[in-house]
Amino acid sequence: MIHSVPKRIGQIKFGFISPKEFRKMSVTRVITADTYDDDGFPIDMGLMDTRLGVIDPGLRCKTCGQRAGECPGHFGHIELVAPVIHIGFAKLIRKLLRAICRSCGQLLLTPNEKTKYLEEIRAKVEIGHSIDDVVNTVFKESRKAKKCPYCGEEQIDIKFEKPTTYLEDKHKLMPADIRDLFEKIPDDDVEVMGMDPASARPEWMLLTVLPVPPVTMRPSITLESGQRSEDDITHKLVDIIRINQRFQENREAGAPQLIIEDLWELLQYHVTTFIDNAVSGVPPARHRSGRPLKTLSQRLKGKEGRFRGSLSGKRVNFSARTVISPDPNLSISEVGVPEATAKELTITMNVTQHNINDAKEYVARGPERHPGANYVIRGDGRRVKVTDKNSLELVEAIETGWKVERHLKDGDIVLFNRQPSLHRMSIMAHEVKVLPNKTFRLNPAVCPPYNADFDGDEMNLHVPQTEEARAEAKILMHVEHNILSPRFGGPIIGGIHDHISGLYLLTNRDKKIYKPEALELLKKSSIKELMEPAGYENGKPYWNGKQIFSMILPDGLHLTFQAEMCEHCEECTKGECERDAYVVIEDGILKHGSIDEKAIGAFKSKILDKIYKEYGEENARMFVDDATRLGIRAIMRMGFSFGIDDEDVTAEADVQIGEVLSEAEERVTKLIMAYSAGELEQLPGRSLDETLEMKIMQELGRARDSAGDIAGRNLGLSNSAVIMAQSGARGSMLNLTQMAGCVGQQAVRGERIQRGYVGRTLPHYETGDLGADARGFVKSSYKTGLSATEYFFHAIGGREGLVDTAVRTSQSGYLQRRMVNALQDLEVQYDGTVRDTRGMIVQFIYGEDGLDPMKGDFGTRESIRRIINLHSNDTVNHASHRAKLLALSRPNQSENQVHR
Amino acid sequence: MVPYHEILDEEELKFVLEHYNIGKEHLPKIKVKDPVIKEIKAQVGDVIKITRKSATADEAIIYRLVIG
Amino acid sequence: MTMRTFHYAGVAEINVTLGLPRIIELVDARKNPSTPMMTIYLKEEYSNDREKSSDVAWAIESTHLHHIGDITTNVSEMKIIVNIEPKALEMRKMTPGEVAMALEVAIGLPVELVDHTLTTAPEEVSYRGLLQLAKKIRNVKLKGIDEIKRVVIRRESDEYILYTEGSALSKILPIPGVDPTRTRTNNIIEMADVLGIETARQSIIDEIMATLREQGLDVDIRHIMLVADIMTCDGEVKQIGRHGISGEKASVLARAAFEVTVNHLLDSGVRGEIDELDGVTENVIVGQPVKLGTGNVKLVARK
Ligand SMILES: [Mg+2]
Ligand SMILES: [Zn+2]
Ligand SMILES: [Zn+2]
Ligand SMILES: [Zn+2]
Repeated sequence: MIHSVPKRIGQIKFGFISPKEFRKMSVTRVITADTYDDDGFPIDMGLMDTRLGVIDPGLRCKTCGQRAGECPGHFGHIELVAPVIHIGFAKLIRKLLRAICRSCGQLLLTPNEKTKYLEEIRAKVEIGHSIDDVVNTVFKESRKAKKCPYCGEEQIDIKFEKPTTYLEDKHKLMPADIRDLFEKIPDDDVEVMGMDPASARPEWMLLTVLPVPPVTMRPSITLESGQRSEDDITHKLVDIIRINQRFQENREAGAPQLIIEDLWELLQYHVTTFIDNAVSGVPPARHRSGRPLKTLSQRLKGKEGRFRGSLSGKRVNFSARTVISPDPNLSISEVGVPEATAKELTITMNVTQHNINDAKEYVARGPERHPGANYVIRGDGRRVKVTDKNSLELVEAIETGWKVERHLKDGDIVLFNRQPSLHRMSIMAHEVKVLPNKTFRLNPAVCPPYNADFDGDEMNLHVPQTEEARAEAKILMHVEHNILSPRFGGPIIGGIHDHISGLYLLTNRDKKIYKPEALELLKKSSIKELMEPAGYENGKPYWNGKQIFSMILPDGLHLTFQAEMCEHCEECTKGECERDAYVVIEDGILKHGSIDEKAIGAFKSKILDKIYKEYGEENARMFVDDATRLGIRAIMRMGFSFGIDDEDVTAEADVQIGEVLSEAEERVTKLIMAYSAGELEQLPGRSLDETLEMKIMQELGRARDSAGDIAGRNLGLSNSAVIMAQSGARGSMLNLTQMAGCVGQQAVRGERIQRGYVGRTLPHYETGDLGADARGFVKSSYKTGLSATEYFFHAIGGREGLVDTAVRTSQSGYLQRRMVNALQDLEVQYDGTVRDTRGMIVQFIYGEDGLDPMKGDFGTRESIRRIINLHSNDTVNHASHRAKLLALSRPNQSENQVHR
Repeated sequence: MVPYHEILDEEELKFVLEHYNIGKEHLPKIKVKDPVIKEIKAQVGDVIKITRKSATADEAIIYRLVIG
Repeated sequence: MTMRTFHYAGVAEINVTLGLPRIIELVDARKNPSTPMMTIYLKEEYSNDREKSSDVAWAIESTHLHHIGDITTNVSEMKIIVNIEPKALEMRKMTPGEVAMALEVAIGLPVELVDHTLTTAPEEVSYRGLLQLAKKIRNVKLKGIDEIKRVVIRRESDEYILYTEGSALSKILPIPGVDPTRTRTNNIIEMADVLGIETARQSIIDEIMATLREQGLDVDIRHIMLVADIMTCDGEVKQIGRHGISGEKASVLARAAFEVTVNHLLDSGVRGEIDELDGVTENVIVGQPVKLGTGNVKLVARK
């Protein structure tokens, strides 16, 4: 089979279709409003004429001879008895009428002015700016003329009545008159008014011929009762033809002018609603049921319209969607695909000498056994379905040049996606791992880029079908390639939840780990040999947790940083840190410190960042895989749980918290007293009321915090919730405060709760009570439970939160859409410039230095310096590094070339 | 805060356009009524060389075409 | 993006829109931001002098009569009495005589000055006339710039800086003592009008980065630079959206796919526009590979 060069649409020109062209492209004139005859057969020259295309299976199109599904459909036309206005151009027609002479049709400007404006228009077009401003001045200036400079005709102002009436001194201009006048406008004048005379003559805005869309775009459906139900557009066309006929009959019979005008109006109405059924001032045409008809404009508009609904977003083949669930044993770059899905999705193999045996194996297994095949395409291009019956026959027949549509198998590259696809990490390329059961499986460490969880989330999978597509997916979209976020150049993939808790438990406590345990912990990672043990007990070697973790670190890694749990003491004691929060890694060995969110967590991981930038993306992936597996093993080994009694505080702590809260309340009371006595000192720029509110809020906030501190201290560092909050695995100290200490002030719009009854929030309080509990301060903790009033205030605050998120998501969604739309066509060219589709330069060098934000160290040029430092003494790889450096510094160099 | 603007001479302009393989109309624009353009008395059709302080590259040079 | 509205991190006394609403306001290129604000830097000889800098502050803050005294109406005598607070007047470096003069000029009626008390009466002796005049007197401007509602002086790293509620850059820059090279407003359109498109570009970057930083979001500045560059590359500040960049795209189909579909199609017909199918959306719409990556390479097979 010879591959033909794929056809490509080079450009699309927009313009009006002239009546002549309408007739030329029409395959039949439509004259009757009837659709089918009594036998259910389309009537000739009716709206369902088989020359317009076919939708019934079995029939053949009279124009192209093809069957339903193959025939694209063909346009017909209706000859309108009198011209009508195209509603989309009603406003433009008004502008034109005011701009041209009512007698000779010339634009009411002097020749000099015309040349001047024409030049301006051309200048704007050249630099790619909108010509609207110039055109609007043309219309404004020409309207001022009282007398035609060419024929001397006195001009009369045109009044416009929505939607389609033009009045000249109370005398109505008929569309036919307007059309005649527009025909007189010279081509040159049309151009000055911003129109293209070659493709948009003004008189074509008044329709004399109406195209009848092919049946294929308005298919009728047959209801269960056997009755046919026509498309909205067909209904509208029926109306138009009926009125058109009546109009003609009346005109031929010499009916009075009044009746003619009425019919003309009616025809105008039907044509108007055919084009747009939501014009202001025109009652929408309705279906018998009262539902407004969906006509041409309605089909194009809006989110579900043709443009956004069917053209910008399309349904595709070779895709699958199902619920996701976690599998920590998979690599982050893998995706678990159910066998049933793998048998449905296929990849086309071109059979060659090298793979003919594989191909035969696939076909031999047939469509039912897993790595099988569903179809073969023979040398002559015929598709044959593989069945259990014919599989062996096909195996014999296969030869090079055939194609085999084989099942998806382990190692295939697929695209994996979760909506909303807000950034590029929302679609990444994974390798397939075919697994039993019915969900897609993924490593929980790739949840952050997708923003996925497993509470019922579904995800999509797409199978690239060409070699080019697979190459692009692998090179540009692979998970390994997306470990760092282009937003800030830090890792976005990394350990979450239990990974962090697990590694924290492993590395924070100095625990003796004997060989069987050590082997079990490292079972799933790629470690082959254990390092030197930390010591021996009863002759048995043992290791500590830090050593176990060190084994998954690459050799030669040096790193020091403060862990997430670091309290940022005044003077850091570094290695001596009481809480073991100062992490020191020397030559790939964890010497001090605990591993927590800062070390391996998504968004924050220092270690992953370092490994990615110094050991490459594959090592980074391997580290994430190992770290997450080790984390899971560790937490399983040690055990970790959190229950309701984990938020119990001791009786003393309870008393302490109570004291703190009542002291705060006292202070609030004092503040209120000072306020009512007029002794409160006003803060600069704030009113007295505001000052009081701010002070009270401050006081109560402080009270809640100290209650939290007491509770946190009381629970101790071994409490599960504290461990999770401190290591950054899940939750925060604030959550803990609210659970065990005190829930705190409930706020609406950042202020204490004010509204409700007159002068008070609830009838439980006295009018004007400004006290803590009267304005929504919740003293209880979630554990002790809320009082009735507290519960009510809590619900108020909670509701605001819900409303806020709902509002914000819609707002930021729209912002996102606008941003994407504005920036999507910008491309960095090979010369380093950023240009749009017109070739206009937006930036001379991307980001003024040509650096990829993803590759910089959190946005600095640090990485270049580091490479230089790292390799300045390196003689072995000198040449390759020189090349690398050159590549990195090229943008600046080219700039230097320009300016020397 | 206003970066340095200067009118580009013919020779350098030719060099810039050749370097980027573009016409003048492909450059970013600046209005003739822009206060800085009024200050340096540039005309429509001139190309302005602007030397910015840059957060990423210390200094960046860009060009803008003066339009009406 | 979870963004909260909160008080300004630097100056607690001045409320400034922050978070998502502020970002939207910026990319919309609104003529009037909801909370206009200026940061006025002073020349060296002023910026270290508390006295001199507060003089500048009082000179620009718009002072109305009700700021410096109580206004009472005496119905029985049909008089309006203004009791000037000497302290307020002293702060603003004004004398009662000046106030009286300003008032006389503003209302066109004789004003009687006794010590710190001004007395005047309406021309027409009626209750309504009296109230109307009282209202007018309240808002008689004595000093300063209309737009500047409040000025806050803060000392930051060895110099005094003025923050203002309200913005009028063109009126502020010529004032003696003001350092015109550093003084700025958070209204980008005003920046473009007064200091040019390049400065507007820089202030878009500064404002967006400041807003994001205040929310604790770390975003690489290059992304913001790209946004600012596309907003300003046509010589004026254009919004990101229908009335700006998206509405002026080269491609008809891309515009139609964004918003107001039908109008764009009709207009493109009028203009006889040609869609060159260079961008992403256009090619997706017509169902062919986009001209990026593999699609950017033209390779023709010999038959
Ligand atoms: Mg979910
Ligand atoms: Zn056909
Ligand atoms: Zn004429
Ligand atoms: Zn520490």
